[in-house]
Amino acid sequence: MLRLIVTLIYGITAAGPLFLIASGLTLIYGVMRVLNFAHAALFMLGAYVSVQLSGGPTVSLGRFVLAAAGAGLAVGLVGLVVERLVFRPLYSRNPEATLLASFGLSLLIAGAVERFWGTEPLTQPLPSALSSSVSISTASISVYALVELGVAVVVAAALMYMLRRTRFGANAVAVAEDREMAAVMGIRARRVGAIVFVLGSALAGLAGAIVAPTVSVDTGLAPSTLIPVFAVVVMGGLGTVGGAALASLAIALVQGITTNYLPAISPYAFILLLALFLIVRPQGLLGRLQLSREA
Amino acid sequence: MSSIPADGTPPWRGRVLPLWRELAAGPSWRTTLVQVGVVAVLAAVVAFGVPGAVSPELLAVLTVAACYALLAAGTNISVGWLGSVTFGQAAFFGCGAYAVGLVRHGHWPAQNSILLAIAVSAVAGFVAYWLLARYTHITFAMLTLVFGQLVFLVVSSSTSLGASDGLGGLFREPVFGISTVTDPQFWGFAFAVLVIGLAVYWWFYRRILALRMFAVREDAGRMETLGYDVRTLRATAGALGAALSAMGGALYAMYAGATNPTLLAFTLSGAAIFMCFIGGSRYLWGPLIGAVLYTLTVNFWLQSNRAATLITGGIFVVVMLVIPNGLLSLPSRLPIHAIARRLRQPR
Repeated sequence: MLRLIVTLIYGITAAGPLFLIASGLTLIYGVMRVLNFAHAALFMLGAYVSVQLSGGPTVSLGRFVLAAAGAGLAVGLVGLVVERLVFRPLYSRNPEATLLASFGLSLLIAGAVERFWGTEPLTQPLPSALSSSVSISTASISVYALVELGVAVVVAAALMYMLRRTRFGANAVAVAEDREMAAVMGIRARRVGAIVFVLGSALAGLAGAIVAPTVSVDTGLAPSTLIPVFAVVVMGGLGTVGGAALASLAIALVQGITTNYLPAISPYAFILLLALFLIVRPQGLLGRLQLSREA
Repeated sequence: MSSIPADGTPPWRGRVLPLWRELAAGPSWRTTLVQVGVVAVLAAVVAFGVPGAVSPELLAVLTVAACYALLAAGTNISVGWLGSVTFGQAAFFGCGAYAVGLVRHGHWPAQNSILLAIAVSAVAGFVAYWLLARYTHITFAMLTLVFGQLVFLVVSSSTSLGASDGLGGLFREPVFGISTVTDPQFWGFAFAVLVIGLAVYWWFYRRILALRMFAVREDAGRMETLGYDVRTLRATAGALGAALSAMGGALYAMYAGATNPTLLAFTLSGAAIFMCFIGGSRYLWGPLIGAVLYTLTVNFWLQSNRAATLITGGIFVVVMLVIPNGLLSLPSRLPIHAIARRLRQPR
């Protein structure tokens, strides 16, 4: 019983980073109907930038926070450039065109990272203020895992607030609903799109910076992140922030439980979960059945 | 116009022919025979001429290109014909390779191993596309990626399939008693398989069946309304694509003498899509051109280039932006065509 509780606690904390990475992807899809294949590459870029900015084998808490903000900013800028140069000319074409272009882009970004930082794995130090851990009976949970979870909760709340309570959010929802009609009603659809793209990319960069201390920062980061994140986004229902949050919780819990009880299937347990889930509910947890052709 | 029968079947339902009659419907046999004859002569020239004319390194790369061309042709049946972008085609390529790897101790003749690989993958492709039939566009692409990766993870963690090392110790078995041990000999065999595979691809391209697949690409809902069984069409396309890709995979495993899980990785699926779009996925021979160009580029220009991924990604982005219909669409974009079009138009 204790083991189960400990497993569940670990699972819940593991949901934090998963949601952080998925949030930007699902935001961009929700508003722009662009599935950004390069999102995982942007996430990896964020991790590298934060390592670069924190510099050296130890880092103070202040510098770590600044490095994370810098990574978010830098990757957001990359998102701005990419939206202008690659995605904007493709909006009028079929959804596969943007998907394939973003696949090319993911190679481009991963290649650039490999070119500038090499293939040697880097490590991101954890600020000493965050490297302690708390014990709950036999389980010891690092403070940093709780920080990750906290950031994820804040990001989820902020995104939901933005989409539901602000003017910009209303505009974004209108653009998502019907791009042309929104433009006719006087919403600057292009600008909304660009901002959403920058925001989504910045979230990828921020996620990269936050996850960096817990992983080995190398070129394998993007491919290994891509699949679970896609699973989260599909399972939550493409384009829904709340769905992504629930799905990352579900997937993290399944991964935690199988690692402890069924280690043989743990590497692909979440895929099996996704498969079973899609039979019951193909549109995802909170997704709507779409009649449009993009779905 | 006949009235709707009492059982409720719409009258146009009867227009859907049984599968064997669908396959028979196509251009006349006489033209086909002439074309086949011409191709056979050309093929013989290439098969016997190339090993003497090119360096051993280039011959090795061309053999790999033959495997990739089959992979790309199979991918294009899903991507170009059916309009369903798949990021999981490498699973079928790997399926072919592992089928060959698993019968290695039996010392089966090469043709039997390839037939086994094709049969296994065709069934797998049919089932996969049948199950994924209700997902289209982006969801389909993501699911093929996720399930392709599932296959990759299962294979690379299964000790009976050699885990991350794969299955080694494959011999180049003779085909119909003819040895395929040396590289020039194997080239002849690989080229023959390539020609057979592409002939099947070409033959299907000219069937009414392929036309129906194009129609599914354009508007699946309307095809459904017209009474066509879209699900079976999708599954048939999946089986056909998987079979072609598996031929490539089987050939690759025989050539390399080993299999490994990277043959199933999604990076290879991505490369296959890249080949289709470089050449032009809407053109019959686009995937072939793309596969040859891709293999030559990666093995000569980009070999030991630190920026290889960067350049490949850059090329792909530029192709998607500038020539989305591939290199084969370039001739039709020459200025002379624009002038001709304008001249034809009434004022």
